[in-house]
Amino acid sequence: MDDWKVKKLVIDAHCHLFTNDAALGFVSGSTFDEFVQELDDCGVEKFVLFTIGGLFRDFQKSNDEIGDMYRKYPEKIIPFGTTNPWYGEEALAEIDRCVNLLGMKGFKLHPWMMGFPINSVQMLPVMERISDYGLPVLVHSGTAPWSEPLQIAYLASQFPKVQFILAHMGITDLWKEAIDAACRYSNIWLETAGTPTVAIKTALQEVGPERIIFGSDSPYGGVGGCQFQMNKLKYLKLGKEAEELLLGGNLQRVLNL
Amino acid sequence: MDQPVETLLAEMDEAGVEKAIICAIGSHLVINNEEGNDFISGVVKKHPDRFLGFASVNPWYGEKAVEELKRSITGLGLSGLKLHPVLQGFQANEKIVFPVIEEAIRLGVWIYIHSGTPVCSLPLQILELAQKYPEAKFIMGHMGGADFFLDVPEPCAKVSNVYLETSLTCHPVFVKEAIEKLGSERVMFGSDSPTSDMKTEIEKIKVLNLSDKELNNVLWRNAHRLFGL
Repeated sequence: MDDWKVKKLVIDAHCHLFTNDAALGFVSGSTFDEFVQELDDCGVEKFVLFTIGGLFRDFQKSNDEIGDMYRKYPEKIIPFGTTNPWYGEEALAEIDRCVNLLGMKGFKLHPWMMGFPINSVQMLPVMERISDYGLPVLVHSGTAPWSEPLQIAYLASQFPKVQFILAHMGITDLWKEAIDAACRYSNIWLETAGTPTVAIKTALQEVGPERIIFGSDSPYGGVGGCQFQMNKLKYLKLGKEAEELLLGGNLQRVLNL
Repeated sequence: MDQPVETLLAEMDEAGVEKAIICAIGSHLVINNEEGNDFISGVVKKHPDRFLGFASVNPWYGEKAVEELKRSITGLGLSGLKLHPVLQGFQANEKIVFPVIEEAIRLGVWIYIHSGTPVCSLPLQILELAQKYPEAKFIMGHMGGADFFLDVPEPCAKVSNVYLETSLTCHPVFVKEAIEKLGSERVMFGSDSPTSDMKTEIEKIKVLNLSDKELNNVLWRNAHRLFGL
């Protein structure tokens, strides 16, 4: 514990920037100001922010939007970029631009929304480039057939220097698989948004609190979304040490904050 | 996953839940249906003021499954049918399940079906079943779960025999949008305990800022109406 140099800091590992984009009419969510206020009310001090629109369309433009927000709230936001492996060289150049120009601290990938299998060959150069920068990736997990925990874990086994955060840790159907993945590979981390209580409880026993990370997926949950995700941890009565790890300590280790 | 009755009752007391619908899990749900239904019925008879029980029958047992459903409702006093296409191994709307649905119609009981898990337990498959059997009454458990929420509110609003149950939907706003599309009369609170926990699931509903009428409908009134409590 001591050598981790963890500050007590509450961080939400999973937030999206919703823009006025008709293509995103998934759910109503809440506005940026509303969810930042709610995060505040929940005691969240910093949050990882990445796009939602860029998972469907122009990812360069969407990364710019994240960069703009980061410049506006540098103390609050930990910016993550995204890139689409289908674009080959352009995808790699975007990784460079995200890191060198926009100051991104990691990358978000969402295989089924972006339309690529996480285990496809075009992921390899993308991961090599991210690995060169020593940055983490947060990958949507839990959805067949392209975003399953063991598929992501197989990629993680090929890139041991990259820390892979399994967003949703397998969600409702594949959380047992996510736990298996984390038990097998030490560069797999489990993020809690949307997963049931029992998944977190089981992960605490089988993986331990050192690799579980709180995330809310705000503003997807709409008003009360962050509170709901946090309640899951609250009612598990984690104890102070585990709580500090889940609520920010572990993510600080991933990000070298 | 184990859930002793005492643990469940304690959780209900702590969360302020007065009554719960219970059903079997594990081998009781999948293969040993008679044993499971006897067990659930025993718990209900011991705590009739706290529990209603739903029967589990695996449609693959054919005529035996139909008989077991009849026995569970008329003989054991259970109140409805629980189906889990993924664990029981059938596609939600395939022929194998028809005889069981037809028996549930004859018995006049509600059918709760797990939803949201590819490949065989998806909202539109359940809706297909509901359209084939408009006289059957369905509760779509988890209302599409995590990834299939888009297939739930609008499509379900087009039929009148599908109600939604809120547990395991991974975001509060899903419940809100379901209420907007279907009305609060067709959305029912559930916890899926011990997979999720009751307090967290109740607060998921409470953060929505529903009107008193909507909140009461979701938290208890719909269940009272449906199950004649």
